[in-house]
Amino acid sequence: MKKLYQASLLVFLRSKNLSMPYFVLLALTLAYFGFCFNNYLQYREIFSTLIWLVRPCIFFIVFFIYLSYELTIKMYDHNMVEYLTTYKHGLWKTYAAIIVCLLTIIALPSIMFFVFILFIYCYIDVQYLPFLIHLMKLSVLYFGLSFVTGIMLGTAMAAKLKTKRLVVYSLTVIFMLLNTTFTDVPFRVPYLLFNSYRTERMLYYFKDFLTVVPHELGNNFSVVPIYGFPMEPVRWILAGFWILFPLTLILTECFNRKTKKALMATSCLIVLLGAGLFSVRGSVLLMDMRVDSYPFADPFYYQDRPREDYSGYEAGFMIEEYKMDLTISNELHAEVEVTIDNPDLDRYEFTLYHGYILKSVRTEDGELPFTRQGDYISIGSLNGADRLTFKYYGKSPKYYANRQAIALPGYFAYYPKPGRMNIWDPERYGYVINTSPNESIYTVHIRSNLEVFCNLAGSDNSFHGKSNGLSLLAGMYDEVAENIYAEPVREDLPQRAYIREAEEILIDLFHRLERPEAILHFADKKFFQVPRSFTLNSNTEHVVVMSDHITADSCNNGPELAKSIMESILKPKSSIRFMWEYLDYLFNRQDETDPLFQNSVDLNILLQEIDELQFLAAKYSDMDREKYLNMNEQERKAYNAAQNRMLDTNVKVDDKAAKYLFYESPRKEENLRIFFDFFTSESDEDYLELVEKIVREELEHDHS
Amino acid sequence: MITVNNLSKSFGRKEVLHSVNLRLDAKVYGLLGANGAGKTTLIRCMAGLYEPQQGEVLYHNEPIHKSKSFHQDLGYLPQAFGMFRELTLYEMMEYICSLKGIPRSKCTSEITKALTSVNLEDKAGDRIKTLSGGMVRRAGIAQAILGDPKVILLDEPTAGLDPSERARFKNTVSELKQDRMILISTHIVEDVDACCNSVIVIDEGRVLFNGSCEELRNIALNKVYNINEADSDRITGEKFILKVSEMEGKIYHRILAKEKQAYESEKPTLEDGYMCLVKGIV
Repeated sequence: MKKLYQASLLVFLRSKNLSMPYFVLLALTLAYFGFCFNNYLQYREIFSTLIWLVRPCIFFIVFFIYLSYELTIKMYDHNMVEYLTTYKHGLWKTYAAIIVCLLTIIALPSIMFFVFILFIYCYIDVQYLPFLIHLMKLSVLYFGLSFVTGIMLGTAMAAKLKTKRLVVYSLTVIFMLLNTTFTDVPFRVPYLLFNSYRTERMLYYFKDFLTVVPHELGNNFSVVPIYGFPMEPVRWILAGFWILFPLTLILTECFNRKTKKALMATSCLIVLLGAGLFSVRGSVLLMDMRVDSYPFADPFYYQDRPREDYSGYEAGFMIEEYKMDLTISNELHAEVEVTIDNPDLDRYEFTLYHGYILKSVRTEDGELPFTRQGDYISIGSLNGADRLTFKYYGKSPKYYANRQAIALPGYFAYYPKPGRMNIWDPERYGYVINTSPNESIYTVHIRSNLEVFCNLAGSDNSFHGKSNGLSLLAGMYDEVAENIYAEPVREDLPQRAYIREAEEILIDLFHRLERPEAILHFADKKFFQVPRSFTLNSNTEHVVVMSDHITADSCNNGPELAKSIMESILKPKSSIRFMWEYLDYLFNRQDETDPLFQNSVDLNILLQEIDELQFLAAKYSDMDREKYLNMNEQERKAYNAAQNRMLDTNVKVDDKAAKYLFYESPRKEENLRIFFDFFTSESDEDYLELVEKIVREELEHDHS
Repeated sequence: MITVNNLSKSFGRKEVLHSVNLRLDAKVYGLLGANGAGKTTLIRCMAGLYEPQQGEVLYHNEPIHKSKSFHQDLGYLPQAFGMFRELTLYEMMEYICSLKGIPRSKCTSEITKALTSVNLEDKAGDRIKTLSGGMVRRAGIAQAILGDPKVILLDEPTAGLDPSERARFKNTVSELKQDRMILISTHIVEDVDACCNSVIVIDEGRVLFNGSCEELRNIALNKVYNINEADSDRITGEKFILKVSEMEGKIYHRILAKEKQAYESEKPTLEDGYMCLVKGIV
């Protein structure tokens, strides 16, 4: 066998069309390492550097497909197969020698990547074992197994397609394109043609099965430090599949009769097993341009649903206690027992995110019938029982829970919450922060391969305590300081000093606003830094303060955190932009270099603009899609012009009104207070009416 | 040594071999047949490369796919033969030794012996890509005889060889034939005449003849006439013009005739016997 291996290696080395590009590739790889290292030195972002490292992976795989195909096909080009088959296991031994030779060929770049990654790890000096393990797994999956996949595919294509080079290279190009974001545009075509995402989903399902480089070329989404590169069990299963399946195809060429039939059966079995395991892959973090990808899935889902206003919905009951038995494997499997305070209602409503499939609801007396409508569960009378057990499983595209990481914040309905609540707010373009005003007792037991961090006290993934929301985080996540939990790999680690500073700033501010009753004490609460990507598709999650803990996407300094907390307290209603301006002035962060600051605001013009805005808004207040479609060309032009005019005027009015009310006005402190009350009230009043009222009052005051 | 029992092989709807029965001992056999007669299919079935639809091939009374020694004892040269062009002839022979399971200690002597047999010993260090087509063909024969196999199946071994190489091949076969079964598939009758003890004639997948060269020649006894072109029309009964030749300005026809003619018959050659069989002049 050694002789066969040596000869195969000699064939490779003496084939200039194979060995020359290979050595050029090695040289380019070294140069590329230099580029990646320079990238790290410049930006100090380890995951950004690693993304650069992973980016050309598909080219390596394609190159190895070429190498393995061209090396193996020599047997067929030189008519060797016929006589090799007559030797005892001759063809099998020849294939084995070629595959071992190819493994040697890929070992060199694989080791180079491994060493470079190890070097980077040592250089950044993070000293965090889970990250080191993650990097080792990255080396094995992305720069080891994927390369092996390349040689197995190349060899299998040589074995099965023989000298049909056009077919082989066409398939290789298709395979390469499916491992890039090239598919973003063609996969959207069925939607554009038929207005349905079903075909797109099917195409992506097929693409995912062929994806051997999970963070594909062209993907511009950043890698989340808590999660790292996608390496869920399904990725390893797929890597195993794309190695074993071609191997069985190769072996069917080497054997005859019963062995061949057995191998073909094995091959079919591997396909079924691979497809079966792939279809139950559960919760995976999809970050690309597909409609099911996490940045888009929920906004799309809720976009087409009639929005119901559930704010203030009275559940009629509270949950006193939760007993949760959670199993986090490929996705969340939960058995949640709730104890309610009012067992005499005729009807109970709960909110549970629609991605979780409810299997049963039961009391001690047995199963209860229930109806499920999107995020809502309706149950009839409990016949006096005060305990309900919900059994469900499933996933959310954004709030993942799998063997690689867990990110389940307490404000998200991944467990049943009392009453009907909105999950998504299209106006704010963000998830609704669903935290109960009341605390419940939680007893939580989690079965997971990860060490889970929770806002409640406990250890070994068992927790108990009182809170108004249960947050669970795990992955490349740790307690980085006392009661501060974050991703150790992130550069911007939160500090208790920042949190204290934020609290002090807010206390001063509430005193300034003469609203001491609104003062929040959070400096000693547990602090959980959530992935920065949480805010990728949501404007509402920068900071969430719950009864016993805070979640925030970052905590770089006290003033910034204070501003984010204040933003989380305010309700923007229909005036997000104006609210942001209000916050800028409240925290004295206005940009005084803006041309607006060259002159003082003319209040008469401001009032005229407000009038115009209100007039235009009233004029088109009953406009809907149907009416728009029924308009003639001229009407549409007029409508579009009015819309543009409204947008421009709105921006101007917001800027001017905020500048005058909170900066120029002699009563600016009072105005800040009025608008604090406005933004924290449940009032439906239009902010422009309030602006107009105050401005008119001030004008009258000036005249008098 | 090798028994072929009731062997049939089809490719799709086309039946290439029809119930072939053969018994081959330690002799040199020539497998004669026209192109497409089924020679290669038969030889591939005998080498275990094709699975027949019906029947079986036995080696020492054991089906070849169950025989433990068959692959060890088999030397096979396919119709189309090639080697890794990047290796030297010696390296390629070593490669084959390794595949054939020849012990490393015997490799050098076996390779030298095989290369000497085909007159390629001085080319051992040359890369395959520098060898001529004939040399590669001879290297193929060397590959087949490497390891002293008991059964040698050669599919058109002389195709592409020049006359001197063909002569050399005949010598090689003569040297090898002791205690071996050698089957040489060819459509060149002279090669069979020169090397083989026995002949198997196959046509359209059926064995037409299996016997000695003498017996095949005798089929054409009193049926071969070498006559003037002008007399050609006087031949009665079923006939076949085998060859047209010119001698001293006159044109002669070598004719196979089923019936006894008024002319003096020629001494038949193996080709005459073969053609009589194939053309049904028996």
